[in-house]
Amino acid sequence: MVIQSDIMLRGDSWNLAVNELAPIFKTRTRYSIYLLSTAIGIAYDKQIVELEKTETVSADASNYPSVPRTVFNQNNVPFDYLFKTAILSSDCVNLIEKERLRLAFEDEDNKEDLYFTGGEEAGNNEFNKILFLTGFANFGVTKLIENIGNTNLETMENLKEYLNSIVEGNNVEISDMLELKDDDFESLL
Amino acid sequence: MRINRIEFENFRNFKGHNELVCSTDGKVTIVYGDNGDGKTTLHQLFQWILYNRVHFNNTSNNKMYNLELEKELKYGDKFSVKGSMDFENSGESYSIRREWVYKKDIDDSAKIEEDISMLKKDDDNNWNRINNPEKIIEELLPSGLSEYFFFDGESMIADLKVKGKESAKKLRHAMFTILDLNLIENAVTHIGKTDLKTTALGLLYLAKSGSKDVNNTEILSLKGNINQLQDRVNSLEKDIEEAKNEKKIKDEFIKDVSEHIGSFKSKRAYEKARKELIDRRNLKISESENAQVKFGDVIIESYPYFLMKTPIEKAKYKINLELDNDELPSGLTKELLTTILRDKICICGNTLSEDELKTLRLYTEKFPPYSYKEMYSKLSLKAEFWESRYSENGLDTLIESVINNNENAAKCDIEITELDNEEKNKDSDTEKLITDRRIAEERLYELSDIIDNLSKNLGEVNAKLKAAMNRYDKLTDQSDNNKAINDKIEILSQVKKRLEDKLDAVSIDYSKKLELSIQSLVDIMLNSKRSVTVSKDFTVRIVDNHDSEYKSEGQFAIVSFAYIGGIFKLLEQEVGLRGKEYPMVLDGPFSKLSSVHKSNVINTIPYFAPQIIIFSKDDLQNDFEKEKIGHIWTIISNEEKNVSELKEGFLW
Repeated sequence: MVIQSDIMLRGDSWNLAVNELAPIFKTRTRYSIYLLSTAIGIAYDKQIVELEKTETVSADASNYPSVPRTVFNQNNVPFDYLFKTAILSSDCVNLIEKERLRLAFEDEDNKEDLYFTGGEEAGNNEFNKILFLTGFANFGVTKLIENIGNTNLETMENLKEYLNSIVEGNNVEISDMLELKDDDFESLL
Repeated sequence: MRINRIEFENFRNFKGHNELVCSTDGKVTIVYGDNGDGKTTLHQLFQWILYNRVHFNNTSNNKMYNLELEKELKYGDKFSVKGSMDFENSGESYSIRREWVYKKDIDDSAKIEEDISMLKKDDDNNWNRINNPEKIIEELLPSGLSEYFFFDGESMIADLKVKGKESAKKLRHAMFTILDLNLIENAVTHIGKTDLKTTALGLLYLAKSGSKDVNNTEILSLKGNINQLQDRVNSLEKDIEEAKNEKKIKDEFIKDVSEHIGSFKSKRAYEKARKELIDRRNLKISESENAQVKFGDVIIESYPYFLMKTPIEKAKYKINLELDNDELPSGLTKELLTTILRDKICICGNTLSEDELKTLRLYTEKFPPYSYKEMYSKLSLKAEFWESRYSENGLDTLIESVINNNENAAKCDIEITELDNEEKNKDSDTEKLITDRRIAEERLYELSDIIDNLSKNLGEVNAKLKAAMNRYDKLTDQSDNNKAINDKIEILSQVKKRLEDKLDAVSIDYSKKLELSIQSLVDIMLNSKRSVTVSKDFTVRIVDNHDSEYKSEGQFAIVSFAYIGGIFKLLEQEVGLRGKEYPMVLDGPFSKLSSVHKSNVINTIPYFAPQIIIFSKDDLQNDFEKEKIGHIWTIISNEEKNVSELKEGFLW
């Protein structure tokens, strides 16, 4: 996945995350926080398409942090993996199975035009992968900042507990969401 | 300006009345004094009389008066510290006198009065009092350049070593003051910028209004926000600046105290042990920070993959149908199948029959874009690979490392305090210094955290300010009412740009002149080849052939002489300043120089300024040519070094 412009991280949550977590994610801070937030959003299968509209200060894009395209393009391998997983698994997009598979596995030079219903920035015939991922990241960052403690050590412990709870399937919020979806499914039967 | 005579009373360790007569005929005046006799005190006396400003070494007491005199007095008695300086400037004679009056109290003597007066001799040799002495001094000998007129070699070396940028800033400011360029600089500051409401551009910016169809209530509210946010930015910047200054002062204080305590033989073992503890503490803090960063790296390297475990399982159910129906022979890839079908030859070498080709063609449908089973399997395998690594993520170890290193650093702190307490009990002389140093160190750690937090806060407020300003711009830009304001902003911005360009050009010009001056002095005084560059912000860089800035103590001393000499030479060359004379009062680091360098420096110094007054702890009698030496004085002190007097002649 190669991008042509920087990824704007709009919304105060991004500023807070970048400011508070920089001492821990010192290496490529904004890239790292964006990556982790995206993964968290995918794990929850929740997106916020435009984070700034849900937050207090409306702002021009230039005032928020961004992930430079050069940094992203040099370190884009995890994002390919995240995208494949998200497009195959997410309920946030309304796509048929074949479309999901094509988007996940189609080679860039062999892609077919696909219609995507979400995201204003994507053209009618083009799926905007970054917009899709940033939706997850926008949600993920709101969860990430809940782990900021009074000291860096406290933040580290919170992050470890929180991330492990997701990986080990013990995260109550995610479990509740899954249960709710099962109920919905049953009611449909 | 040439100084004829200085008289003073009860100034620090100089009890009673003393007098220093200086040569004004181009010969060098030398004041000899041993360590602690009061050379720096006398050097500071000049600045106290002229500018009401003193900067004493932090390790000394900060009382301006003589402590022995104070002891002899009764409570309630008044006493004075006085200083006067007679000088000539452009053929006219002046006398400036400063006095601080104290009253002895139970705890401390309090300053109850201070006075300054200045007299000028008229054509009939009568002394007349003149108004506003500070203004006249500022014109004759600008305070911005006082550090260069009253040159403290040791401080200059320290400045050049560690405070390059700051020294440059100070020099730039001083040069601009003396060349009247500060007026232009002030104009630039006054014009300011649109995001600073206290400046012309800031005021204009906030005077904009909205058009009829724009929500003016929002504009008003945004103006209020911008105002508040600008106040917050200013206050945060001020707090950061203050914290940084305090940090610098504490840092210097700690360094000074450590050097001072370390100079006692009996304290060397203690200082060594203490330094080791400080180093160990700093190492632990740094290891803790490293573990913290490693923790972040480990999370980023692995957790995005770990977190994909559940979504990948979920994906399997979403694409269940295709996966179950797909059955491909193991090892068959799309590339292989395409080749076989194209060549119609099996991998064993046999030509394939039409039936075999038909069967193989059916497999085509099981590859992308018709089927993705293999690809999904790869994705799943990757997830399994990462899952297998989850238990070895090492986050606990890194958290433990942070905790242990923090605890060890805290232990070092306790040991340092214990060591200090033990040392304090041994010796009451250094007790206060040891206590003060520890307090300063603890404050230093606090200040680092304070600066970090303030900077973080500033970043957030600045982002909010810019956001509010962008919104304000969007709302006001639509209005025709703001055309005149926008035009004014544009014009003022252009004026500002022009002034900045002028300052820039002048800075480049003077920095080049300074570069040449310093280079010529370095060439004369230093035997080895060094090349000097002075950047337009007046940062001085002196490097050898290998572009290395390394210098020995002696070389640093030479560089400091060349630096000061270069500044004087530049002032002398400046057309607007021709005819003006500046004295040079030099507390020089001669002891750091080798005999060859010392001889080079001494031969050059008399050409720096029309009047040179040197303070020295080294015998320079045989270094200067006899005819170049004018008045000579020696400071004589008692054993306790708390009562000194100045006597004429070389008395060692």
